Amino acid sequence: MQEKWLLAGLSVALLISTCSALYEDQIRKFDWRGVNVGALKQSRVDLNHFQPRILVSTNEGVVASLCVKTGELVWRQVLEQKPRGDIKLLQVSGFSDDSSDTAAAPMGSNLGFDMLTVQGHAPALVRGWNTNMGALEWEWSIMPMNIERAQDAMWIYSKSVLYHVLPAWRSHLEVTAYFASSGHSTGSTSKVIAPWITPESCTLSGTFYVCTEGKQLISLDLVSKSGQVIRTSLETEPNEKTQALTGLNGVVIVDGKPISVNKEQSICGGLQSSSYAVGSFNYRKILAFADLSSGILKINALYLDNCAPAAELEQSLPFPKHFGTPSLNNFDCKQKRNGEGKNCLFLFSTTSESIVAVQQGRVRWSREEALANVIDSQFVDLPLADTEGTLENEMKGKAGDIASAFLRRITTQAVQIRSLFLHVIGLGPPPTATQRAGLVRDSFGLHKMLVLLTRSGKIFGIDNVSGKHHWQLYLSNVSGFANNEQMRLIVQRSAKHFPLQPLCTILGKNAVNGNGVLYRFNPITGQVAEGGLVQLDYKIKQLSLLEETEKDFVKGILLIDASNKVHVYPEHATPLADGMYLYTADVKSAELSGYFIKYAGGQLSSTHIWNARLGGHNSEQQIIGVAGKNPIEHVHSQGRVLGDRSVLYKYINPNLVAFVTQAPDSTHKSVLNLYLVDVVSGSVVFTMTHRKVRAPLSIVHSENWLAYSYFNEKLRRTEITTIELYEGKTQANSSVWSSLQAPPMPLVERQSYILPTIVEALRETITERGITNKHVLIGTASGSIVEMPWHMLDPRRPIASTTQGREEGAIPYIPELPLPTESHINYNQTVARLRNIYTAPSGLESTCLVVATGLDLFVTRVAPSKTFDLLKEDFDYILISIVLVALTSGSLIVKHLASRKLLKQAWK
Amino acid sequence: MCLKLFIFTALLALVSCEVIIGQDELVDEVSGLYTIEGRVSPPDSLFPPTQGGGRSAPVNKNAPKWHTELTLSINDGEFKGFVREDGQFMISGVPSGSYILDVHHPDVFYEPVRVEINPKGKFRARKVNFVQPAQIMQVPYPLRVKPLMPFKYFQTREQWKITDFLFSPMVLMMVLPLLLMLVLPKMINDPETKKEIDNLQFPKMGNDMPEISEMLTSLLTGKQPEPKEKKPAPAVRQAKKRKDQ
Repeated sequence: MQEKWLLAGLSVALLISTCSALYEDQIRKFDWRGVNVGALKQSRVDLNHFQPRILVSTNEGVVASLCVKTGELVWRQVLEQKPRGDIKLLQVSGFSDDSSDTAAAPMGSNLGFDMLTVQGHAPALVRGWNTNMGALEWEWSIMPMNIERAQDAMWIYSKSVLYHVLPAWRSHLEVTAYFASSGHSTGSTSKVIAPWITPESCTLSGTFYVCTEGKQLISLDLVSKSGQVIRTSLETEPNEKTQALTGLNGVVIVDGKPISVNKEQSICGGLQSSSYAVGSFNYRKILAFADLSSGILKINALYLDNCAPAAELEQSLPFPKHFGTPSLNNFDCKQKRNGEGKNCLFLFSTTSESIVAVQQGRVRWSREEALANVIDSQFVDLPLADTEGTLENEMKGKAGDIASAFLRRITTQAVQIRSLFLHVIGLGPPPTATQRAGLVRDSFGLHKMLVLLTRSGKIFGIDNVSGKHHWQLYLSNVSGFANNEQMRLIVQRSAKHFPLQPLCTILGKNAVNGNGVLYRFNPITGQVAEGGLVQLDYKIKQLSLLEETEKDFVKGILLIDASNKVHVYPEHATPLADGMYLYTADVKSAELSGYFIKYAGGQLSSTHIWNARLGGHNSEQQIIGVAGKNPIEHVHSQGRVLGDRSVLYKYINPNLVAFVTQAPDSTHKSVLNLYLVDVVSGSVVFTMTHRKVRAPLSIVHSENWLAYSYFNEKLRRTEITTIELYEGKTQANSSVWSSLQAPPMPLVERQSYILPTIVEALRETITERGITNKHVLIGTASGSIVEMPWHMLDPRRPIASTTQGREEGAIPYIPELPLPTESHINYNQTVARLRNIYTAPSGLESTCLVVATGLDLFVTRVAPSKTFDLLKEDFDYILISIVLVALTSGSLIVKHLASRKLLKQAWK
Repeated sequence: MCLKLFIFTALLALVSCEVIIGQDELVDEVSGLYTIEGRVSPPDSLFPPTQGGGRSAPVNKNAPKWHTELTLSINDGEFKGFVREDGQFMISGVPSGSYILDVHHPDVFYEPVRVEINPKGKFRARKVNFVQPAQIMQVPYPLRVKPLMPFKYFQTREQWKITDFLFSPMVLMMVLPLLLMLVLPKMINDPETKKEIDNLQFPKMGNDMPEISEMLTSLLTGKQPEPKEKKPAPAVRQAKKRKDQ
């Protein structure tokens, strides 16, 4: 096998010499990585003098340690995917709800722990971590007998014992105790009869299981032997679900008021706040609470023993709007170095999934964890510098006659000279905000604004070169669509139309009533534009972009609502929707429908024109993948030259969409079907079936080809199938494509390859004019992004080395595609939980901008055919000048010598 | 002490409704979940510390971090293992089946291993072979995962060397004929051919030491009396060609 590897490697090394790799000195010149942990779940701030640290667990199943001063990651462990990686409990040694000593075991024995996590439910994994370096210390797991019930299980820690609380709703609770660090059970399971428990009304606060029933709280101490039921009456019936107050045993928060059900734990009355946290200050327990009112965050604190306010901790600060609503998660205080007073750090989690640290009345640092869930991205051109802008205006000028054009040229140049003069003497106009931030288009269009839309509704404007966050916006109460479709980010007007500003739109669903929501903003400044937030009075079913309008160069958005009515936004673009075709796909039933939009008498109407059921004979198939082509793609080459110098024309149908369905099968375990459908006419162009094959599936569809990866269950490996479509040796209509008068069925070339990794995402590179070769970017499970040239995936790679294939330039077929490390475009900057890769053209034909999203974010650029339109950056200017100077001077000297010689000869 | 008592009670507690994995074989069979175990050698074991200096230094700098940088995952993170300080790892709660354990470190290559657990709980580990899955090459279990080689992500920059310049085809094309012109006349001993050459090609050249400038001038001035203005032009053109190289 080793030899085979070597052989394959050698042959490939020869073939991939065209593939470009990075140079070591190019690191971080145009790429950067953002490392995230996800939205905060539990945290523990520890400001001791030896090793200050913040330990966090997050909704993304990550445990990490943060630097107290900057918020940077000290270490991070990414746990399993959900449901197994769902963190149920984070317990740090020395911090317990009932103030008992937790690190009971002596130092050095493997029974103690720094920090433990409980995650998942079937099985539940308990892990002990070393908090200094993030290494595992020990691990044990339990498998519950009843998996469905185990989903609601909760865990509590008290006095070196971990309790597993398993509710059987409306019946009883099962409590099992384990030694935290060994996993040995301390005895048999105890059953507590509690017929009042329901999932909506109950919480676990320390060792107390607290449920609301009408105007009273019913609580049970699960640890005490007596098993006594405690009833606490409330003034009013609670409106919200009760929440536990972590840090205090048996205290719950009911409608913003803390209430103690534990006789041994008293709590101060008359408090009302949105979030509480417990910590210690001057060796006394303290209750801190924080509220946001009209943009000001107020933090207050009380001593728990006498309810006296701790004035030292009180502070208020303006809280930026884009963070959303904060909720105090944890805090800690430490003695200042000079011994005067104390210094406290408050850690907040916010609705926009940020982690904010507040210290001494200001925001010390913040982490934008919304970026762990990027759902859409766009690269937006930066605005032109003013002088270039006027030049652009001139070029666009419609006045044809020479005299006026000449006059305008003279005036603009006069203005330019004047502004230059003013600039030199320091009297010029002050630079605009965007210019000051360096947001001016560069000559190659490589510097762009990267607009990222995240699942929480936060939008970021990030510099794609430096990684700086230029602006943030937060949309609350906006969520993704039905059918598991996410919110959309659309560029309605690009930056090409100076002096009009670019315009972006976010389309989502109102989280409350499910109607559509539009939000329009300027992607360069992050400011609201043209109306901002618009609440629509209908549900969005499908959307599409229209052509640019003549008036303001805005691309209209065509929307179909739930009752198949058609709307266009903005309204003046309505006539452009005439003659549009749209399709919808129902993921569950695998049913496709095509619509035709007609504009008549100032009214838009839709006609249902075709229907396709991909559900199979017993409607078991579900759509697991849909892939259309990138609408901005240009196909430069119409055909492929064969060995005999004839041309095989590509079947380039812009309306072709690939659908992949999957269903369980009795004989073949799982069946995967691929359909290529022309979504204008509804005709199925090609279908293919794979047996014993299942998800994870990734598809990429471009030009006349398609590649999709899946898992082959029979041979237990990941495979990638590639398809190319050709019209044949003649082209039916070379100038314009019509789906309604489509050429006959295309010729189909197909081939499958083995990929020695799990594929997370596939994406093709895209460039301005499509002249550059297309490469496929493969995102792997380990977080690498591999650049694979299309000629490696080419379905026309000949199995036997024929002369025809060789003349065509095709590489002989090798079943396993190598992933050489030189083509990993993110070198060792792996992207944890890689989910998607987005590409966009730059101003240079050779270069394509790439952003990979997942838990981390990686931004770079690739040049599939090398930077043929740019001098190499290591181009030796000095050498070339030396050679030129030497040659010129040499020739002059020689000339002089020659003339002398001639003179001498003449004298002879 | 009291700890012993606890363990004693724990052993009796098998009657409880849940089972703890990774304690003993009997429990594994009840739950149908198994634990994959093994040991990972740290990445800096690739570079023996005895060599000292240069190579091992940058890897050692990251040595404490390798516990968090190394990931052990099965099925794209469906199951994961974490290494302890001593390099030992366990992946618990895995049902029987065939899995590929991916060991990934951003800087060092570890070979993946296929681990097969049969329904009776027997473990078998073998090398991953995607092309011929039937070919079995067993590796010892519990697993011993060793780093194979550091990843080479980068191209090395071409450095300007005098040899590269001298052996480039353009330079060779220019230098070789020149050498021939200089050396050949000397090597020919036969006086008649020498004379012939002299008469044919360089009619005005003397028999004494030929010089480059002399040769060029004689070449260019031989037939035309005033080529002086044109002379620098071809030289510059040649220089441009060399730049393109």
